Amino acid sequence: MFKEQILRRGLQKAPEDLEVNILLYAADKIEKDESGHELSDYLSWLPFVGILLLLKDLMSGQKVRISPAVKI
Amino acid sequence: MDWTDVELISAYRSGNMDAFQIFYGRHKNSLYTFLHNKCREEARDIFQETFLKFIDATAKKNLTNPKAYLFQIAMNLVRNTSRKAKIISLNDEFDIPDIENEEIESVSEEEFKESLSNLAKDKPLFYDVLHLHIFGKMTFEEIGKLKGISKDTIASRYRYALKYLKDFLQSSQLHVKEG
Repeated sequence: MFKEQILRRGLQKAPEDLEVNILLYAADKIEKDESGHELSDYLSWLPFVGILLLLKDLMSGQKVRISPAVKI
Repeated sequence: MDWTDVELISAYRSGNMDAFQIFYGRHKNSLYTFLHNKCREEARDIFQETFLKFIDATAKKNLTNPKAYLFQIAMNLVRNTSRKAKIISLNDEFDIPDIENEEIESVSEEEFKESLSNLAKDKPLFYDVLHLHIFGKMTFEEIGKLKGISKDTIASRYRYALKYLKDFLQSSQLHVKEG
């Protein structure tokens, strides 16, 4: 088939020497991304801390006092 | 098991370098062929720059079609480099018989490569479609989304590109016989 002829005979091989540069860049990039945590990554845990403290109080039998954030 | 491109890039984002290497191996020759035919002298530089920009992009966003994104980067870089691509208007009803299933005999590999280079120079928009469909294994719909035009127009450009190649190869055969 013409389509297969084009695919078989028209393909050019990529230069092998560039492969090293590209793969090294990719490896370097992924290492940097893995090591670089942002503050927002940690802040996402903040709401759960309050819930955990509340559960701790409830389980230990302590009085739980919730003060409203906004006074009416 | 064959991973999809999306799965490979997702694995790479999670730190799996082997996944990126598979993605690179899967698309390197197709991308290089595209660049070689579009702009032979700058092909190496643009090939490398395309992948570096692609790697940068994977860190910033989720890519729904990594292969299309890779070729989009390459096309933008080619356009910035040459700015020679002419806008060819083509009617959606442009009708050329389907010659995809035909075969052209006694054509050497060199002649095939030359015909592709000529198509890329003479009719760059048609070449893009042919390349993305045959070498990039993209559907007309995917190419249409990438180019921002209807899939019918893409299909017409594809058929035109095939006809161009067939005519080119047959005329070169004629020259050989006459010579």
